[in-house]
Amino acid sequence: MKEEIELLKRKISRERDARIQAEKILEAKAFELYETNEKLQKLNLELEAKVLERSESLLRSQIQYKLLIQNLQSAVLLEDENRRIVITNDNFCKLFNIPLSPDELIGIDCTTSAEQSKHLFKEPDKFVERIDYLLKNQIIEVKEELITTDDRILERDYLPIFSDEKYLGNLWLYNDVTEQKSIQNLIQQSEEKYRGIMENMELGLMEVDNNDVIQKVYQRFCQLTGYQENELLGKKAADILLANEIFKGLILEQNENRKSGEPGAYELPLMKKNGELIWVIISGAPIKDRYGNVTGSVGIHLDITERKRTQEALEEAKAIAEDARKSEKRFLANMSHEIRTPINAIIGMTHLLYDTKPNEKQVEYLSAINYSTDLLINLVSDILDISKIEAGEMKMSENTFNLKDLLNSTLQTFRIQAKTKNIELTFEYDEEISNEVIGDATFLSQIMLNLLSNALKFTKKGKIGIQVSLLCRLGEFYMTEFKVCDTGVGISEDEIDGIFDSFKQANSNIKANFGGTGLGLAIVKQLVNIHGGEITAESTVGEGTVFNFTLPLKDSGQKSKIVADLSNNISESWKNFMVLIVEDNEMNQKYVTGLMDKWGLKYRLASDKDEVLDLIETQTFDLILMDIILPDTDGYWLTKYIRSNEKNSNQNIPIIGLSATAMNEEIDQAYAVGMNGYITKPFRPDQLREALEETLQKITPKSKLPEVQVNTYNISENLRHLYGDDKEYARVMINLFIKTVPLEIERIRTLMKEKNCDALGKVTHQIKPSFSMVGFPELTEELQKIEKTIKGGAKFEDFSPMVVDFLYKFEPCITLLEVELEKLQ
Amino acid sequence: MKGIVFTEFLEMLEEKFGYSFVDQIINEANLPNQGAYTSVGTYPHQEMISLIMSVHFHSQIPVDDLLRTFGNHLFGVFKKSYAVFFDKFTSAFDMLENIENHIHVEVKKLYPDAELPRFETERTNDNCLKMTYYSDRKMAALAEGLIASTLEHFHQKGSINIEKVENEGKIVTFIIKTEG
Repeated sequence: MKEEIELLKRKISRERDARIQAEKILEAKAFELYETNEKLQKLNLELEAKVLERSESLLRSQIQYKLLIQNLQSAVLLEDENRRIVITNDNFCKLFNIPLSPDELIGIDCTTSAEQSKHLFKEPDKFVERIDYLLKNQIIEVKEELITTDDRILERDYLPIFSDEKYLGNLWLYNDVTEQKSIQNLIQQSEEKYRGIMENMELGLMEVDNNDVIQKVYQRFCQLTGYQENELLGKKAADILLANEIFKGLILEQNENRKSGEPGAYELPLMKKNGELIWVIISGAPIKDRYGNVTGSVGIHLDITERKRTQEALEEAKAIAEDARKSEKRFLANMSHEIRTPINAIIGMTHLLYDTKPNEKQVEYLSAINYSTDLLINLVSDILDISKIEAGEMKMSENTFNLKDLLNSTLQTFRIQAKTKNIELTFEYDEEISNEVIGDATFLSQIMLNLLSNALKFTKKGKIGIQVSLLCRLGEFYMTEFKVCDTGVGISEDEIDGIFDSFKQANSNIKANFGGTGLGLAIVKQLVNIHGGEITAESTVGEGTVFNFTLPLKDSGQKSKIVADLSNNISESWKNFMVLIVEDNEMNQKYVTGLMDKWGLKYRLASDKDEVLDLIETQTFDLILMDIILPDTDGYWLTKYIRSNEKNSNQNIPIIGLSATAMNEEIDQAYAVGMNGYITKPFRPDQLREALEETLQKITPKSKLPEVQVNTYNISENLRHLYGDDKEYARVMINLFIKTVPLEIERIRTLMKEKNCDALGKVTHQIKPSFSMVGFPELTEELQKIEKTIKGGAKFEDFSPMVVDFLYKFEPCITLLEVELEKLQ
Repeated sequence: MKGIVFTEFLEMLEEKFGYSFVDQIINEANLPNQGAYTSVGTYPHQEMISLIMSVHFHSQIPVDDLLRTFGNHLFGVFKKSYAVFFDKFTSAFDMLENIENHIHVEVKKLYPDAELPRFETERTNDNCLKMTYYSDRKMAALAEGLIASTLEHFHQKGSINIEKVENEGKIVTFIIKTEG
C-alpha cells in the first residue's frame, strides 16, 4: 500500500514536472506568437500601403495608356477574346464613321462590325473575308494595304494577343498613309528619273564598299567594261578591272581618301573583259549612311581613251617640236661660238699688232681690220639677240643692283671713244631713286649700250648723255624714265616711225655712212617691252635725237652703297695681282696673255683640268679667267670644284667666265655655279680691262708675290763672278742644272700635292747648292730657310707658302739660263 | 527528439505493463529529468536509447520487436492527432511515397527543430515499393512498424522485407509488396 502511494506520488510528481515544462514551453511559444503577430501586423500595414501605391500607379498607367491610345495617330481597336471592345480611340470612330464616343464603345460586341463597315472599302467582300481569315489563323499581319471608296490608302496591323499561349484578344491598328504613299511615289518617280538619266549618260557608275568590293554597277558601266553585272558584283574592283599593278597604290590611296569622306578625281587605265585597255577619268565620292559613316564609295567613270590618245599624240608632237627648237637653239649657240672664236682671235691679234710699232700704213690697215671685225662682231651679236628674242628665249631675270653705278659705268665705256671724237658725256640722275633696285641689269645695260653707241655713232660734235628721273612710285615700283640724248644728225619725221623695226635703218645713206645691221633699235625696243616698259624717240634733223623709255624697277628697300667712281680709280699696282687664265685655245691664250703682259699683270696659264687643279692646289691667285668649254671638263665644273674645296686658299676667289656662247641659260648657269662675272667672247681689250678693274679694285692682292721682281736676278754678273773666263765650265754647270733641277722641281710639286713634309725636306736639302752654282744665291737662301723650317717640325701649312713662293721665283730661271748659255757660246 | 516520442513510449509501456514498470524503467534509466516528459518538449535522443535498453533488459523483448510495436502504437497516435494528413492519401504506397516530400515538410513547419529520418522510394511495379530509410538513430524497426500500420490503415495486405542493411543500420532498404 505504502509502495503504491510512493509510486503514485512519483507519477504525480513526474506529471507535474512535465506540466511545468510544458507550461514554460507554451508560455515561450505564446510570447513568440505574440511577437510574430506584431511583425505580421506591421507587414500587413506595409503591404496595404504598397497595394495602395500599386493600385494608384496602375490607375495612373491605365489613364496614361488610355491617353496614349486616344492620342495615337493610328486608329486603335483592342478587343477581348470574345471580340468585345476593351478600348478604342477617336481616330477609330472617325475612320469607321461610328457616331459614338470611344468610352461608349467599351464592351460592345464586334463580331458583326466588319460587315457593317465594309461599304467604306473598295473591295468590301475581300475586307470581310480577310478579317475572318486573320481571326481564324491568329497570326500577326502588319502593313496590309486597304483602299477606301474615297481613295485613301490605309495600312492595317493585326496583332492577336496571347499570354502564355492563352488567347486574350486582338489589337487592330489602322493608319492613313495616303500622303506618305504619294510622297513615296514622288520619290520613286524622281529616283527613276535620275536613274534614267544616269543610265543614258556616257558615265559608268559603280559602287564599292569600304573593302573595294563591288556592290552595284549600272548598265553603262557594264557596257564600258564589257562585263555582265553578275560578273562584277562581289568582286574586288581593283582585282578585276585594274589594267596595271602600278595603279593599285593610286586606288588604295583614293579609297583611303573616300573613307575619310573626301571626294577626288583621277585618271586610270582599265582592262576590259576582252583584254582591251581603256582610259577613264574617275570622279569618286564617299557613300555615307544616315549616321554619317562612310560605307563605301561611288565612282563615275568617263571613257577618255580617245582623248588620251590625242593627248599622247600631242605630247609626242610637242616633244618633237621642243627637241627641234632645242637643236635650233643649240645650233644658234654653236654658230655664234664658231663665228665668235675666230673673230675674237682677229680682234685680239689686231690689238696686239698695234703694240708692235707698226708704220703708218700698217696702222691704217690695222684700223680697217679693227673696224671690220667690230662690225662683224656686232652683226653676229645682233642677229643672235634678235633670234633669241624671237624664239622667246630672252627672258627677264631679276637681280638687285645700284642703278646709278650701272648707268655710270655703262656711260664710261664710251669715255675713250668720246674723248677721241671730242664729245662730252653727260649724266643726270634723280637722287629720289636712292635705294638699290631690282630688275634685269643685263637688259638695262644692253639697252643703254645700244642707245649710247648709236648716239655716239651719229654725233660728230657736242654731247651725248643719260638722264634718269623718277616719274612716280607705284606700289613697290619706281616708275623710272630714262632719256638717252645726243646732238647728232637726227632722224626725219617720216623715218622716225620705222626705226624700231627689224633690219630697218632710217635711210640707205645711214647704211652707207654708218654701217650696222639695223637690228640695234629693234632689240632695244624688245628688251624694253620684255621689261614692262615703252620706248619712243623724238628727233629734229640736224639737232639731235632723244630716246625716251620707261621701266618699272622694284624698290629693294636697301640703300645704295656709295662706290667710288671706277673711271677715276684704276689701280696702278696691278703687278701685285696674280691671275689664273684657264683657256685651251692657243690663239686666245696668246691674246689674253699678251694683254696681261701689256697691263703688267702676273698670270699662270692652264689649258686642261689637271693643270688647273695642280695650280689651285699649289698656288694662291687673285682672279681666275675661266673659259667655259675645255677639252676634258668645263668652267662650270671647275668653278663648283673650287667653291666647294674648303681647305683651298682659292675657294672664294673672284672668277670671271669667258665664253663664246652667249645664251641666257649659260650666263645664268655661270652665276649659279658661283662665278662672279661673265664676258662674252670675243671681247675687246677695254671690255676685259673693265671687268678686271671692277673685280680687282674690290680686293687686295692675296697671292703675296715676292717683292723682288723675277727679272731682277743678277745672273750674268753672278756667273761672271763665279766662273770668270771659264765659259766652258760655266756651260757644263748650267747644262747640268737644266738637265737635273727641273726634274727635282717637278718632284717638289708632286710632294706638295702629297703634303709629304719629310721628302720635301730631303729634296730641298739636295738641290739647295745647285742654285748658287748657276748664279741664283737668293734661291739657295730661300731653300735654306724652307729646309730649316721643315726640320724645325713645322706643319705643312706653315711652310707651303714659302715653297709656292720659291716655285714661282724659279719659273724664269731656266729661260734666263738658256739666254746665258747662248751668250756663253 | 520530440517529446511526443517519449510520452507515447511511456504511455504504451504503461498500457502494456502498468505504471510500476514504467517507474522502474525510469528509475533505472537514470534520466536527468526523472522521466518527466511533455509532448511539446524536445529531449536528447540518448535518453530514448536508455529507456529502450532498460525496457529490453527487463522484458527480454528484442529491441526491434519493441520498436516495431512502438511504431504501431505511434501510427495510432498520429492518425488521431493529425487526421488531416491521412485523408489526403488513397493508398499505402501513395502515403509512403509522400512522407519525405510532403508529410515531413509539414512536420518541419510545425516543429522546426525536429530531426527526422530521410526516405527514398522507388515504385518497381504497381504492387511493389522499394523504400530506403536513412538515419543516424538506427531506428529502422520503428519505421517498419509504421509501414505495417500504414498498410493496415488502408486495408491492404502485403509483406515487408528488409532487402539490405548498411552502415550498421543507418541505411535500411525495405521491399514492400501488396496483394492484388
